[in-house]
Amino acid sequence: MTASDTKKRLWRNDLVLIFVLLFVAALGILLAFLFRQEGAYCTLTQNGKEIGRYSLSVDREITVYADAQKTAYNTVRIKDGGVSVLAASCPDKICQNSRAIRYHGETVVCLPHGLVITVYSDEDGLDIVV
Amino acid sequence: MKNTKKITFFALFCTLAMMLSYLEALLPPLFTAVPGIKMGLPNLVIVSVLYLYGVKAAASVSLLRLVLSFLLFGNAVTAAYSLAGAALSLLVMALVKKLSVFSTVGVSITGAVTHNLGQIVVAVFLFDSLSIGYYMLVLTLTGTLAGCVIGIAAALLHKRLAKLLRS
Ligand SMILES: [Zn+2]
Repeated sequence: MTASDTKKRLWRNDLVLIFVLLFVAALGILLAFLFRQEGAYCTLTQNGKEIGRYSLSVDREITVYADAQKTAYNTVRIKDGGVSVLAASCPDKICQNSRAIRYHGETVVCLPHGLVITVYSDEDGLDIVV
Repeated sequence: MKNTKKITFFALFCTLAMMLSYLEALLPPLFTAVPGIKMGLPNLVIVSVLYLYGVKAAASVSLLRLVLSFLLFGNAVTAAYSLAGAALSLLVMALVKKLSVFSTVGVSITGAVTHNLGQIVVAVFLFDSLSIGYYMLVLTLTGTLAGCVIGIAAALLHKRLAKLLRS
């Protein structure tokens, strides 16, 4: 096999890799989109520990604190079946700039405060709604 | 003489990797809702060093970049992300390169995608939230595209630098 043959083979493999990855990712995204389920409630976890569980059908605002002095806060808003972070004291504000989430499995993360908001679809989880 | 040249180029590559880290930190988070997950711009330097000098050199530059970024503008969480991403990515790239089934572009793509995979795995454990794993789908798309661009750039760099470095 000549050097140019090898080069051609590598290029062909590259293309196969690109197409396989793009195809798998696109298919996954499409399936996730097609089979997405409206959320019923959301959970708030801080550093992996659940601190609250709220129905998405009741509009409300919840403020959670990440420190004992109550200076590090996230204000979570539930409105029209979606949940988002209305205001936060974290330096990056990524959570605050995230769009509202409303489908099963979606998350909003505040890295500096270790806060994760996750939407769930199944109504059974509503047993211990606050 | 040869050693001095090598050290100089090492320093240059480290600086370049640092600059790319910094640039990446300045950019807004593009497609992911998980803060701290990066596309992996410094991978351009890592891929180049991997092809020019080999795995050991690439690992040194990668580690040095991680430590320096951590000292300059990092926090523990971002450091955990970066370390997992960089380590997995380099390991996979070195293996794939050895198998010689892909060109620089393919190697760079496997590096970019596994870089994201390492970070997502850490995020899943860190936040104890499996749902975060969904973002791997979008990250596979962006990683493939980023890996493509980085691979082409690295191949061009390699072509131009290889002559200079061997003289
Ligand atoms: Zn935040």
